[in-house]
Amino acid sequence: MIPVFLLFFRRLLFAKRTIFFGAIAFLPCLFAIVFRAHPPHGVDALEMLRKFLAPIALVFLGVLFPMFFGTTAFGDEIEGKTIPYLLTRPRRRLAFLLAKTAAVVLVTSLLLSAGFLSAAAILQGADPFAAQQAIPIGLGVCGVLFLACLAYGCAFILLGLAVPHPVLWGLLLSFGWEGFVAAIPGQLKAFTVQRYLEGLLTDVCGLQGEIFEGMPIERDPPGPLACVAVLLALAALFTALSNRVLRRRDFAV
Amino acid sequence: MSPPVVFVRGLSKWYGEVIALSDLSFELAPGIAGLLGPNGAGKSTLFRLLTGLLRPSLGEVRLFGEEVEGNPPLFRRVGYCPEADAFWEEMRALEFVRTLARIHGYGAREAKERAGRALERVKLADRGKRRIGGLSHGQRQRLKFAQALLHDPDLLLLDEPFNGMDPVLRRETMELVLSLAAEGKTILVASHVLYEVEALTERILLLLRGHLRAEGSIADIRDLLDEVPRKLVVATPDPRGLAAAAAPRDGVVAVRREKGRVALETDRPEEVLRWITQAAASGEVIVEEVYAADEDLESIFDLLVK
Repeated sequence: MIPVFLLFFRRLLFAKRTIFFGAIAFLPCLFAIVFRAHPPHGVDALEMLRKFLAPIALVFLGVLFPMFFGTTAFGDEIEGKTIPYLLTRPRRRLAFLLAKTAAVVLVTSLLLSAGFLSAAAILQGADPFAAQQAIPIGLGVCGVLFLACLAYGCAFILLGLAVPHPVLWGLLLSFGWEGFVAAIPGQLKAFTVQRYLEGLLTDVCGLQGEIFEGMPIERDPPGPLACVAVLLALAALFTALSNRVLRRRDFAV
Repeated sequence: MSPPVVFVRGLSKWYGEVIALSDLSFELAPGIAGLLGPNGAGKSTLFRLLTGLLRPSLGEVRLFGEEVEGNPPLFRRVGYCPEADAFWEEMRALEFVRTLARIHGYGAREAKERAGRALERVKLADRGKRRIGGLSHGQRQRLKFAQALLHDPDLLLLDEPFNGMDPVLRRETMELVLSLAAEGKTILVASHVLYEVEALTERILLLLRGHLRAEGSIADIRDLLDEVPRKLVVATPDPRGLAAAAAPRDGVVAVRREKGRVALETDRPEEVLRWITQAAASGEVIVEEVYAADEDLESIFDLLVK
């Protein structure tokens, strides 16, 4: 599986799309620079990192990146008509799926982590408290971003394989279902990926009972272990479904 | 008794209401077989079914006696050269073949050696370090061929492998195909050009609009033509006179007068040809040249489809 992964990883890392998203990944740095240049009254650097940059990275970028990379993961090989070179080798289709998934998760989480850790590094020098905590919090958020890329990446790879116009469906799922349901009171939110990511984020950022800026975060989210377990289980479920689709799918290229 | 290398029975493939292939049955043994058919006949669909890229709507495909679907180990014995001119363009030629060799399961050193040998075999070794995006069309065709050869397969499926090759390159590639067949491999070559297939093999599968219309030798296929009207073109300085003389004759189905020539459609070409020869010898008509206008494959397809 390693040669397959290396092929996909290298191609994804140097794709034009990655350069574009690489620039977007550093959006938190822009906010951090503006914060350092013009510190707003009554907001310290850590608050900026925990309550503003971390939610942006998770709720916006943590969904957007896996969506664009995941939905196009197999589409690139299908539209590029290179998939026959792969599927006519003595390898199970599952190996290609796992390699693609690993490449998508690694590239997206590397991009997002690089952007967020850079922002944390910029904020680190803002005040003595930030100097001590910015990087540890940044690393914790990177862990949550990795799980976001894993769970969403697997979901969007499944979409890319199973439905036509997967980007459109991906947008609907990301900013429709995940965003819309979050605003509805009741237990429906248990059926979103976002709930478990937010649960982890509140734990990592030490924000239990607090409200993120502009985000309807639950006051009593599931515990971190339960969140990790659910996210891993969702990733496994989506991968199993993708494998089923991939095994039965026709490739008329 | 060992099973046929390729065994296809009752194979059909449709997409919604569009039938791409209908009830194909044939077997292949070692040697070269030509899959002839015009564009859209279903040749590539058949290759995709043989390689498991498509699942049959009906029927059965077996290679070396084994089911294709869900059987990746089978591809240790199968090499596939797809028709599409598609590559990972940013790669270099050697890197492309080596990467596929690694994916095939070879270790780093063996993959490199096999990639080098495959490129040598298709006479592309001197272009190994060139980016694929910078290769000519003919070189890209050979690169596709090389990746199909890298694991020394027993069965080669070549979908339009000579497209875009200049005559010299085409001849060299045909020689390579012949030498591979001489090694005992089974090779199925798809083409829409009759002479390419004629140069390689006598064994033909003729595919038209998703149906296997004929299977056998080139001669068998030519015999099929006796069942449909043929077209003879007679070059003459007096088209009006020749058309008038030919029109009432038995076996002449239609006459079309053109500048400097007459096109005769006939269901008895040999008889009409004999009459033209005699009439020219007796001075009844003036004939400069006679040739069959439908000996090329496209014309044969047209005739059989009508």
